[in-house]
Amino acid sequence: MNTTTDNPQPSTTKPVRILVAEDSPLNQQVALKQLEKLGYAADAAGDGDQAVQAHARKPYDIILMDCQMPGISGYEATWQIRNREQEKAGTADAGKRVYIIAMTANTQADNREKCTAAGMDGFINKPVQLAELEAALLHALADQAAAKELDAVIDPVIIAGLHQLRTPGKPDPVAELIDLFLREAPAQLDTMSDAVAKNDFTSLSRTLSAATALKGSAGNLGARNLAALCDEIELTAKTWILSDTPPLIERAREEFSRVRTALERIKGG
Amino acid sequence: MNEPKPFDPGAIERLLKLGGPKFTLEMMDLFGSYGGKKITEARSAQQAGQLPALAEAAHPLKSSAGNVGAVRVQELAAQVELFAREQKAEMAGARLNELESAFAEAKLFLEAERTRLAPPPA
Repeated sequence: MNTTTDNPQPSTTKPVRILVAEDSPLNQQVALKQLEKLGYAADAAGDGDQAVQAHARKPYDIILMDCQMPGISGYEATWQIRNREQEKAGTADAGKRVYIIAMTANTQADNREKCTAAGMDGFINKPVQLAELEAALLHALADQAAAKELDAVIDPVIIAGLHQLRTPGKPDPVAELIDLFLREAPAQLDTMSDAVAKNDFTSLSRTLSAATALKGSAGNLGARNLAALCDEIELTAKTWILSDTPPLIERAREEFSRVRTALERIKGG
Repeated sequence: MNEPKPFDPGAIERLLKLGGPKFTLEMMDLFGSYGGKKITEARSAQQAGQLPALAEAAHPLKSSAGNVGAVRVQELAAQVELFAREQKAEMAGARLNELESAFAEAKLFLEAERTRLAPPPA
């Protein structure tokens, strides 16, 4: 039988770095072949320890993680990977968060709550079916694209730094800062619009004061573009040409809308 | 009530579609060697009264068996694992006996499939 005609493989490989962590050689080979069929090249690890080591060596985009493996289980391996990501967050060595898809057998010892608690992002049933695998990968890539979009609006290093301020037993400072920012920023934008529209002797100081305050709070939360726009508004106001500020305030409102969406996602976890 | 079929011929077709005959034969061989190793480990663990080790040996057999369509092996491996985890040694042992027979049967089934896929030279 001709294997090339009844088993066509994609001619190009998609630029996604995938690791398959699976102890059963049969399941591992089938998963690698399925990935190849879908156009992905992948590396393989035979247990949890190897998966943790492989992740330290190479910045994988996605890990397909078997939950129960000899030695370090998939749960423990995920926990170690997430810990390392957390430790490196905010440093020059920080990489992007790897998306971990649990390969579960749906038994008592292999449940989804446990996967989520360990830090896994998606699930797929074993034995893995091609269509289910493709759907899980597309979902992972869409999630990562959304995260990338979010990173363009909010600096992830700043958020990671704020997360590190968390004290056990106390409310999350990131959530508190986000709530405060989302309450105050619309009022500051309104103050600027109102001040410029009135164009009286208080307009300049009110615009300056609101722009400075918003620049500071946006910067504290890593909303770089919004902070830069407020800086422009500040500079323009300082030149006494308030008529140039409305388009900038409009852009700041549009950016704030993106910032709000991003912060709500961050807060929602 | 109808007994579930011991084999799912669709699994072999899926493997063929995925990787062609050479790959399918390799997976069938791998099931024979890896599955045999796990059955041996399971029996040793059961004889030593090591129920966690018995569960660990039975666990990977489930999905490996599923990949080659050995449905009965898959079901029995799941039961051995479950009983072992629940510390029901007698039930786990009884299912392990059945699992050994089902595995031997699965190997015969796969041997027949092997002949179909790669007929011996005349």
